[in-house]
Amino acid sequence: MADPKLRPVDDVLIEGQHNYDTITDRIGSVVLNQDNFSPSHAKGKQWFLFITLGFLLVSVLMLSIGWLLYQGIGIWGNNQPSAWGFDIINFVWWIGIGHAGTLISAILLLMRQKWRMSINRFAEAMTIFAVMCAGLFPLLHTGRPWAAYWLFPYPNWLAMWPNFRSPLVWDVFAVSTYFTVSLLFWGIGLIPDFATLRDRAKSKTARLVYGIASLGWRGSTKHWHRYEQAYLILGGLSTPLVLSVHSIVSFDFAVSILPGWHVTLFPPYFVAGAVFAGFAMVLAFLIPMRAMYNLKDFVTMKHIDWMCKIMLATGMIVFYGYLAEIFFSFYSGNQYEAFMMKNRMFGPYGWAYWLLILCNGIVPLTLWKQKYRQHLPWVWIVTLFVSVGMWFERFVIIPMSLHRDFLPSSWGMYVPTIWDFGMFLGTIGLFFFLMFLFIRFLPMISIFEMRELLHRTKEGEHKAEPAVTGGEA
Amino acid sequence: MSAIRQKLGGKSGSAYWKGLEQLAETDEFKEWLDDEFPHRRSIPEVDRRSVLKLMGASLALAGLAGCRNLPQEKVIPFVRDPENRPPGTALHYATSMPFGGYGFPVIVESHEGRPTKLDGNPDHPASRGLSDCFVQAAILNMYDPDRLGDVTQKGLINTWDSFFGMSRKMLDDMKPTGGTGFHLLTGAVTSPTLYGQIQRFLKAFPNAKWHQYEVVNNDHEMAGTRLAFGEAVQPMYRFAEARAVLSLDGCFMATTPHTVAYARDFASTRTPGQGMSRLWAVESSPTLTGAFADHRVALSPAEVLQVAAAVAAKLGVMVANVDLPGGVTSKWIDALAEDLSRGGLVYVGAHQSAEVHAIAHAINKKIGAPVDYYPLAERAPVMKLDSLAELAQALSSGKVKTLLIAGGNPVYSAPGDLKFGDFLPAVTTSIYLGESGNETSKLCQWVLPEASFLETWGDLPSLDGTITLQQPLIEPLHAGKSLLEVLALMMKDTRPSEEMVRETWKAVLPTQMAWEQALHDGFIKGTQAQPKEVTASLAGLDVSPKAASGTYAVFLPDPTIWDGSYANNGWMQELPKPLTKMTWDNPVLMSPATAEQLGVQFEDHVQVTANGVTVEAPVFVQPGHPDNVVTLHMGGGRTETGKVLGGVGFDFMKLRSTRHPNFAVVQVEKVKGKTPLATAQLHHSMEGRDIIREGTVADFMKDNSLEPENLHHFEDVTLYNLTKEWEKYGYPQYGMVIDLNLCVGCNACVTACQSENNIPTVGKGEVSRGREMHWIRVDRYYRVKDAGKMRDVGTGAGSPWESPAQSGSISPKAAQDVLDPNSTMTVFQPIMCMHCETAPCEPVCPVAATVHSHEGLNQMVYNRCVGTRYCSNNCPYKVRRFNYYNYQFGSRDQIPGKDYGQRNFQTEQDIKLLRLLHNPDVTVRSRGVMEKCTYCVQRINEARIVAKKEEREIKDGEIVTACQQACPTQAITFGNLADPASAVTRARANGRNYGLLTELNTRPRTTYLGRVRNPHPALETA
Repeated sequence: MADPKLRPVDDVLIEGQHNYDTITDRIGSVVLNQDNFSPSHAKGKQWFLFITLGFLLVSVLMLSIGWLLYQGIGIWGNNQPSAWGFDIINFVWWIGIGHAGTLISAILLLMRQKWRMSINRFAEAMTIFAVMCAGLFPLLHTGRPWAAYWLFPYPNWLAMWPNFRSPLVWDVFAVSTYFTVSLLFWGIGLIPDFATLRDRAKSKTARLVYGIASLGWRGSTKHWHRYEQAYLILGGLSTPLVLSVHSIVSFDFAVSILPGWHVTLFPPYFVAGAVFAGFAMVLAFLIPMRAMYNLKDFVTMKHIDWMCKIMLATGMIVFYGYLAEIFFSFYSGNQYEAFMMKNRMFGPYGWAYWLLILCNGIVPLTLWKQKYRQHLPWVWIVTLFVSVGMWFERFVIIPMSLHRDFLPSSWGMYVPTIWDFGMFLGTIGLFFFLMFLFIRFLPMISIFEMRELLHRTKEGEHKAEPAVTGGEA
Repeated sequence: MSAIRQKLGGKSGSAYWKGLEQLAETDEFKEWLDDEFPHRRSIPEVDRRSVLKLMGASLALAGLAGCRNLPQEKVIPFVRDPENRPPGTALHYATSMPFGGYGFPVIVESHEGRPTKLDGNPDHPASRGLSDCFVQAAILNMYDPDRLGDVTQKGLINTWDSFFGMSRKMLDDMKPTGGTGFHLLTGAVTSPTLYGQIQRFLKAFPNAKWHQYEVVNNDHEMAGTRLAFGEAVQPMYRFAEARAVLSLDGCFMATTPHTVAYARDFASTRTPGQGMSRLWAVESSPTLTGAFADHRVALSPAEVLQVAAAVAAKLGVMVANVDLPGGVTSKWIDALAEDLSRGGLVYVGAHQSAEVHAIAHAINKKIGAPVDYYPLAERAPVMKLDSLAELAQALSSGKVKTLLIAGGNPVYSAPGDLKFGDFLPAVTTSIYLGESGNETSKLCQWVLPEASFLETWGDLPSLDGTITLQQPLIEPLHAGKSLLEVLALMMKDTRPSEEMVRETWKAVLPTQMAWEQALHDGFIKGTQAQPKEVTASLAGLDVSPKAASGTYAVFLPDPTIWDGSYANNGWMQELPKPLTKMTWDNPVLMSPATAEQLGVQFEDHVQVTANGVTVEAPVFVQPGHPDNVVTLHMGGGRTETGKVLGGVGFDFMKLRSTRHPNFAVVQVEKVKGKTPLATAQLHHSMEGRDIIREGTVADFMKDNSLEPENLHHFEDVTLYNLTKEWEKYGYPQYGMVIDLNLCVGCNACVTACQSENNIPTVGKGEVSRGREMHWIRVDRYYRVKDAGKMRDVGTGAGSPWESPAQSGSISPKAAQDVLDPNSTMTVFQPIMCMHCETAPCEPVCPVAATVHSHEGLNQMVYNRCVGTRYCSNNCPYKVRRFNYYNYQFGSRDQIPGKDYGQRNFQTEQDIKLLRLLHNPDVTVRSRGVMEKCTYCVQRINEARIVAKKEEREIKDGEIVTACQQACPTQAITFGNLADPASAVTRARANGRNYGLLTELNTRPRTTYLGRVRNPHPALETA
């Protein structure tokens, strides 16, 4: 801010001259304008390119899963001592990415942060798709996935329950609850917009499908009243999930006795990391999308600024976690802990650790500067760094702790195979594919909430007060 | 065929036959079919039921079946089961396994007619129930799907009938010339019955020639005794009585045919505080004996003679003025001589030169060492290499008309200068009789399947000359015949082989009862040889240094695949070699200094040239290896037939010459190239961790403990009263104690476990991915003597971690530490599931597939396991093994890169045959399931059932785990910890007892007794 050339970020959450109609039009038309998805049209070409890329990678995923089921876990690089590798890294990574959506929809809702309105739909969709990608891994990483349902406490004639002491069982509950609540939340939030699309759709099929999805929404006061109640309740339900899901995922490690896993700091540090990764991913997608579909008026620089700040804050919590881990390792006086940290830094995978520090610790620090927060290409690059960094964080924690533990005789190296990459890229493809389908069929910004936002803005103007600003309660 | 035609012809129009199937039902047709297509009657068709029908063992009655012109010996099972023998109970039979010419007395466990496991015969002094990995793995050789299945002539399937037709005619034709041009090549013949048969043959054909060849032979031993005593005798060492042992380049702990007895006897003298003996080792290649030694120096093979002479001179055996080689001080020799003179013994490796042998014998005589000299076990002792050279000479001069090669693989194993394979194809009639096809059989016209030792009758002398008896446990799987039978049948002697063996021992075992008793015992009592009186003289012995400059190569039998005879045995290929922990390959072993000199590292290629032959192979840097010497293990690099051995290892056989079969000066050069090697252990330093406790006798006697200084004692804080928990229940509480002071690292336990628990092999590719399945592993670490103290390699002043090590390479820092071979120490630690009382694996399993039993076992419930592998991650000992693929049934995958092992047996037939080997008491695990050591729970259950039926408690020592049973030094004790009088409780009370990683509060049920070294007081600080 000291820089006089820098324009202070507008607090405006909707830019341009919009009325209800133009909002509806601008957002709704992304879905309803066929040109956007027709290969003969410039914009459509883009969409086609991305969805095809996504589809190809989904094919890779299918192939990887098929071969995995046919052959067994052996096609991956997992081994003894590193019995977990890409499978669990990817699981934790994807779950983490989902967290931005929940945070935005639940916590920011309860805190009445208006700026969430233009990004919550998008972020929630990402949550759902990310959890879908994540869920594939714990299922498929089991040696006998056809028996994986034994992790659920279902009634059976053996009277055999899962082992409730195992963090993996907690995972099952945490992740399935998370997915269910997120899906409901998203679905309910979509109802008024489905109705809008139903009303605006030109083709019969679209009208029919959107009509069914809108569950008879007519926009009556009663509807709105019920809607608001349901939304708030779900918001309340999801709020603890933001904290619990990744805490529980972190228990997978923290509960064990392995140096590098057995860390009490894990739950908060995992949660912060998840929000960090989630916001990075939201930004990584939103920045190109808002340009592609002309949504700059709704996703303003202010939004990006806020998100950068959240990234900065959570990133620093994560970085603090890394520093704390170093401290614990040496202060503990435990030779295994100390060795684990030295091995992290200077062992055969030392590069991964320093890459992690660079990506998650150093690069996000640039966001202290407003100049960088407003430099969209740089923000985008930072989000990629963070995504890579958060992946490597799990790499550092999982195989790098496992590969050299207590008895040096068992030490080994973990080398992923082409199928590990196949699964990973495949889920990225799945995520891409689902995201572009989402863009194709659903309004990626909540139309009615934008209208509401505009209404409040107008209200403010009537009262001759400054334009609606994000942030205040 | 005519019978069928007749049958068809006889039918009138109204009698239809429904098809060829019905036609095929006729006995004639079947017989014709079997005759025409003998391979059709292959083993895979032998399902369990017919195995049951056909097999059965000691009640086996031999008889003649008159349907063919060849006698058929039947092995008949119980027609009517004896009372109280429920089906499914294993039967045990005594027999004898040939190894190095000797018979090793074994007990075979047989399930419904299938032999499934070998163990030592407890009644026989050569075994006392103990065994080694070669014994344990021999059972797999019998079930090897690659064994010869058919009689073939020039590659086409033929029959035994036509072979004997041909051979009898041939012999008839030879009669007038007395068998000129007939040559017989066998291994070392020690069996009296076989020797008698050969003698009968030679009597009938006096001009026929008989040659004997063994790759791993006793030529130098024989020559040595001739030098010392004027006659060839067989020394037998009574290690149990030795107060000090000097081993000159010999590994009596692991690689002699008498290992089991020697290791056990020597181990019995190693109790700290009770007159513990001292072991000195001088060796040109690191051995387990050297690793076990209290003092060890590594020298070049020629320098060993200098040490021997110096010791002899010191003891006044001979007058010699020899320079001491580097690393050996006169103080060292003095201390050694002093030790030896007080009840010592000198042992020499079979491959050392005759001079060293002679000096050792003279020393032993002089100091009155506990050594007996027996007549040679061989019936017609010859120098094996000379004998083979004679044959090669005859071959090259075209004098050989007929050559019968019985067993062995001379084309592969003959020294390079004999060029044995070059002339073999020119022989008019070449016949190969062997269990499996190989390089030699490829070049022979007639190839005959040989019966395994588990399928035939025979007799073999054991360690002390006692005759052990072989009896068939199963009808030959591949219709094979033994050499004894083949020779007899060639001479139209149609007696069954049992009769021939009985005939030999008629005088000793006159009655049926005596014979059956001997069969039951597995050996004939009272047949041991009488020691001979010999006097030693070293007159005229030349001990002038013969050390040539340059790099020496030492040729040794491979520690797992021996001379190549176990090359197609997946268990042995995958068994980590005791010192290198290498699987599936036999690289060039050299010291860190030599490697540095050559500028090579682990896996880099070198080219070894000797004898005009060049072999390119990767390097394995072996700490403790003498400098300027390379060790080349024989047995690898086999090329011919076998799904397991194909492309595995490197063939150094041809580098040997008849003049230098055991040591040779070779050129070693660095060449381009790298071969990935699969080692089962990638890290070699204990990193200063309290893993193996070690100390000197003095350390231990001081406070009856080996605890390291500054050991942090953790307070036993718990909410629960776990310590006394078992007393509450009143059940036995199983535990194990492993005495590291007795463990020589020989791997007998690993193979025994593999055999007992149906553990699959996974192949080289999977081992290099770290997925070997062994439930028990023997960890090997290096330590260095630094200013009189022991410390871990690579630790100390510098950083405590190693540089990036993808595989077995030694980091630069660690390499500096192990540059001096004489200060490098090797320690072993067998590790299997510790059965922790508070097992970290148990709470983390989401499906409760690993749980604790009331007897303190950490149990693995295979059919509940979904394979999350969390348990393995949380196991600090990393003893859990995961079925990443369907290893057990050879999944048909196409994994990039080479994979060997059981997975290579991809045909249904192969898999079916290998299934016969499975122990039916142990679940066979499938893909996606975790497994680990169970403390042989099947044996515990069996003992419990027996005890319950007899309404008594399980007796101490009644339950013996497979590893414990095999261990030749009896380092493993197992039993009930809740019983204060049990052996395991007493072992736990030993001051050396400690638990591994107990600071994690795992409360392991398996604990260790620390290792104690017994250095000479005068050398202690040297």
